[in-house]
Amino acid sequence: MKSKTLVILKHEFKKIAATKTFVVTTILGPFLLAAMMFLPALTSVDSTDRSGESINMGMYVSNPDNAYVKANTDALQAVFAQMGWIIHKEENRDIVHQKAMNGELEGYVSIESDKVSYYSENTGDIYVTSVIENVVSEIQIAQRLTERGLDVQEVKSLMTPYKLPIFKIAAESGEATESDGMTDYLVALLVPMCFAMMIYMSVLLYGQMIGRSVVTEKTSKIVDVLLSSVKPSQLMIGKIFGVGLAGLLQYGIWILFAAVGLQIAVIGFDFVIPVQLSIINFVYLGIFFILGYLLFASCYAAMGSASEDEQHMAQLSTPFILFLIAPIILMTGMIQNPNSLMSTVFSLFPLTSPMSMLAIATTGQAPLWKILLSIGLLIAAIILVIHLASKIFKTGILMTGKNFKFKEILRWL
Amino acid sequence: MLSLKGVTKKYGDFCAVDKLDFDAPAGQIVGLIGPNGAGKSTTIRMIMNILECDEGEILLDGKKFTADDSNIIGYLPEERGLYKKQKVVDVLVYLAELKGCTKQEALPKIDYWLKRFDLMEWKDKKIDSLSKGMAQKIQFVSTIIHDPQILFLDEPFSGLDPVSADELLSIMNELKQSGRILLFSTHVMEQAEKICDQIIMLNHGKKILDGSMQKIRAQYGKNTITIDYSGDASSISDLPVVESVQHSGNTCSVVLKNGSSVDELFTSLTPLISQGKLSLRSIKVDEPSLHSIFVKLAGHDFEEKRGGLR
Repeated sequence: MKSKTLVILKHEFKKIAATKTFVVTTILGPFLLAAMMFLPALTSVDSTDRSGESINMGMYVSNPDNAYVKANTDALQAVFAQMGWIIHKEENRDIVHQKAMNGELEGYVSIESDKVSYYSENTGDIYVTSVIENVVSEIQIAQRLTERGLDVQEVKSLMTPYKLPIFKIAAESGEATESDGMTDYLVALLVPMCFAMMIYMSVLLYGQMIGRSVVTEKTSKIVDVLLSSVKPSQLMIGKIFGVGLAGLLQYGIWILFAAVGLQIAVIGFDFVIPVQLSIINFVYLGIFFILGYLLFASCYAAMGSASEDEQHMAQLSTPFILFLIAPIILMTGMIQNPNSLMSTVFSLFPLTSPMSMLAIATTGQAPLWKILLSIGLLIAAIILVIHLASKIFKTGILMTGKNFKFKEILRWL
Repeated sequence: MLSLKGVTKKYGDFCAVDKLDFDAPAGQIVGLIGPNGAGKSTTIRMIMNILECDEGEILLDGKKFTADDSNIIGYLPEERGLYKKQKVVDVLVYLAELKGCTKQEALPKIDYWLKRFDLMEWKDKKIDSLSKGMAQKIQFVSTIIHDPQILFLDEPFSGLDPVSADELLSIMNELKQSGRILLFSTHVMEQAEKICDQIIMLNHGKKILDGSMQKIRAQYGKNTITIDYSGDASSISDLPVVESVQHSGNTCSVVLKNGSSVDELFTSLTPLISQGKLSLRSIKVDEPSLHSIFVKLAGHDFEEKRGGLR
């Protein structure tokens, strides 16, 4: 009789893993995730960057023999030329003003004996104005320093700001390693966030897949044929593990992608792997995915069996989704304060622990005993829930014609 | 032989099947009939081990029939369903594997049955590309691939064209001759009458009819006689064996009193004939149809219910 569970497992696995959707999401998943991670960073930095553009820049020089005018003119010309801008130098303000007005020029710098100013239709372009401002202010500062008899280069080197070295103490060994504060903070948040999102999406996706497949079999009446061949518990277990295996395959491929990607980054770009992406964290990811999946999949199987249709199932499973969303919302707080009461409760309570404990563990902030306790509680919960779910499944799968309330379903236990 | 002994199933206070006994011998087609909600589905589900019975037992050749015997049953439920997005052959292999067949064992049998139903070219097509009738035949094939000892067919003919229906009937007869136990359920009484060797009728979870068609007819028939005549038939109603007469043209329908036989009617008609009042053209004992027996037995309740609603 055992082998029938295997037949169902194989069938459910093939039903998912042999679809185009599965292949596409498995291959595109990592790229989408990478895009999600890097796209916001890229777009926010680069939107104003116009380097490499050859901007038509006008220049009105009012009094070329004046020392101040000359110094600024030379410096600006040098910088513009270096940046590949095209300089249109005029001694008649009206001409250059006209050109800036009809769009021939981006704008023009007016250099007079007492001030340097910029005229343009597009005054909001921070990139252009900041280039000009930097050049002029450096000249201004240099001039003031020279007037007081100070050496410009010397002052510059004296003014170099202090960089505070930041050391991180590892949770287990107590070893201190130097880290780059801001990047470290971002990576510290980003990696567990991504991991948690992966768990959230896959548990929801695969859990709902199971629920849907149960509802479909129930509404299409295949279930009568199936149950004349196998026991309800075999059907449920076969489904949960079959779909789970497909999920695990997807995770395996993703982790492989990540490992290869990181290796390429290390060899090709001298990339230093942050601690958050160490092997042990991928192991945690795998463990918490499997456990979280098993827990939610059994819930979904039970809810699916008790549902009349997919909408009804969605209604019944709403409470479970809340347990998946809550850790994501509270994740930043949990990572910053891993020992707070909330963090402890969330990382030990089975419905929220897969994501919460994973986040705290990947940032290296959880002692091993806490991680093991969390895993132990999860396994205990899974055993209990599978037991209860198969009871609900057994009753629910044959019940039709009524939208059962959550309370009524609990009575089947 | 499949035997049900005192089988009972309750849902709370409601008794869906009440102390049901019957035998389904090998090599016979047994029809299970009854109005909707009579307890047929529950009975089938108990035989198929989908539901456990609360009381009583189900025996196969004297031994208790359990979930471990699921490989020797084939089940065609009334409401059909197959995996729509999958290929015909994949679905058939899967369902055969669930009955303990290996893929290698199943494939040649799938070919055999698909050929018989002229469905070979659909073997690699998806289920949702099939017509309703074709899917129906595929589902029937799925119930017999593993060569089951016991076969339950619920409305197997619905939606089939006459050619396919004939093919199905001949397959059912082959299975019957090879000593399988065939249970058959339908609402089309003419079919049940034609196909079944034994009829079991349920109502309110209880068995109200059990036996061969012959026996049932003997039990419910022979009290209505149609007489085709010429002359004056008005005096028939005065005969002592007659309960009532309905005239229509030169035909009358005679209902006999309880305990009176056709022979007695015939004897009492003879004087009328010899007196030249009446000349018989034909006399026929009406065989009650299963339909009329069904309506008589089950319809009684409907009348009551309708009355209650008013």
